[in-house]
Amino acid sequence: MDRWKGRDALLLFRSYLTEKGILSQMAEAEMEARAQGEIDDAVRFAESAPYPEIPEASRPIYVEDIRHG
Amino acid sequence: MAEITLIEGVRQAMDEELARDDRVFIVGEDVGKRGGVFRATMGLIDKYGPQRVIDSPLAELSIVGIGIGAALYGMRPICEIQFADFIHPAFNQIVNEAAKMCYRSAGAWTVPLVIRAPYGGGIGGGLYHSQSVEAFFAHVPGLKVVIPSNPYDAKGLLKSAVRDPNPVLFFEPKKGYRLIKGEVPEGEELLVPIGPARVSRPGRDLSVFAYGMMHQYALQAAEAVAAEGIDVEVVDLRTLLPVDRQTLAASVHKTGKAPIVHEDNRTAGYGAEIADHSGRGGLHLPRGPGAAPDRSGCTSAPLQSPLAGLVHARRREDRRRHSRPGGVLRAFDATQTGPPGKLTPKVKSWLQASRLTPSPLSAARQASTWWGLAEWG
Repeated sequence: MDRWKGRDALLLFRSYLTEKGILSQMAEAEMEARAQGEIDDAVRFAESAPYPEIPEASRPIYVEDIRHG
Repeated sequence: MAEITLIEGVRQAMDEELARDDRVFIVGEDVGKRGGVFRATMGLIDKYGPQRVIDSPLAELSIVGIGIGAALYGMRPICEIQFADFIHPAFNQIVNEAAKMCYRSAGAWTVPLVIRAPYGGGIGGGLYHSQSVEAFFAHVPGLKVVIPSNPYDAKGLLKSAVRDPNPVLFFEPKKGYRLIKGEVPEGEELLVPIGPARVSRPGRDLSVFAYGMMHQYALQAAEAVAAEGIDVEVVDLRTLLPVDRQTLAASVHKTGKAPIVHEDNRTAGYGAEIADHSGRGGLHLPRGPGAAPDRSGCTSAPLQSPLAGLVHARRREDRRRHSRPGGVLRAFDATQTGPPGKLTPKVKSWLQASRLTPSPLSAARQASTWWGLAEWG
């Protein structure tokens, strides 16, 4: 398990980019913050959203069952 | 009008839909340069190019998965599974993804996908080139399951399937690909609606429900017994899901008895659903005075290889019940083991036995004939 952890492609690619000077610490921190922000926003939105009003009976199984309006 | 084979009906349907709608494309093994192992896609890559007739790797999961993804984003894929026996690796994609997408997204995401595959036996295919898989998929809400029995329906139903916004499984009886020929109009759009069954031969004495290759044999058998005064109604199911219960009910209501003929395994095969529904839903009707309605207790006769429909009565009750007129529902094995004509004598004797008489002795003989047939395969 540890051997494979050491071969994690994401981590290897990250060290490759850092070594080659393509990825700076600042850029990486900024990307992570942006991604985390998106996730936090999405979680906030989902958790504060009301439960859907769709009654079970009207959930469409076939496309022709979709009731519009 | 032109007389074409069933496979040509399939090919023409795809040709016309590719021409009509840019979103339509075909993906599958050997569909492109080879033109399909059954020549279902012959000439299409030359007409429409490799972007629209795509040779896939040997990976059914991907063929269907790619189809689902493309359909979600507005394309109209036709996925070919080279033999229905190979659909199993794609089962999760079909059942968990394609079938449920509309329901789980409350209609926001839909999968207008066709998956077509040759199915059924009779060409020496063995274990992995002869399977009938319709029962697996007829069990899944969200799918449609369509099986044509002739070139006209093959063409018309496949065109409808391409235009249907739901995932449609289209199984083609491979034995009939070149064996079954029929008239198809030229120069006009041919669309057969998905859903309705078709009474292909009206009759009075009993109804035979069938689909695919077995529908052809049912018609032959009906002709054979007509000379002896037995008037058989034959119904071609065509769409297995959603099933046209109205047409089936009307037919059984008229005749009082309805065998179901298919070439799949009997136990839990598609015939079991029709037979059970018919019994449970009270479609079976007694004929004649003093007859008790059928209680559909059912025993499955031992599973034979090849595959069989469900037989729907108890042996003892059969003999007792048929001491007075009454109807009974049957589904039985009709696997082809030789040239088409071979089926007919067996079905013929069964059909003759089905004409119930009040005599206990002949009823017992009739019952044993039924069971004999149930064990035949």
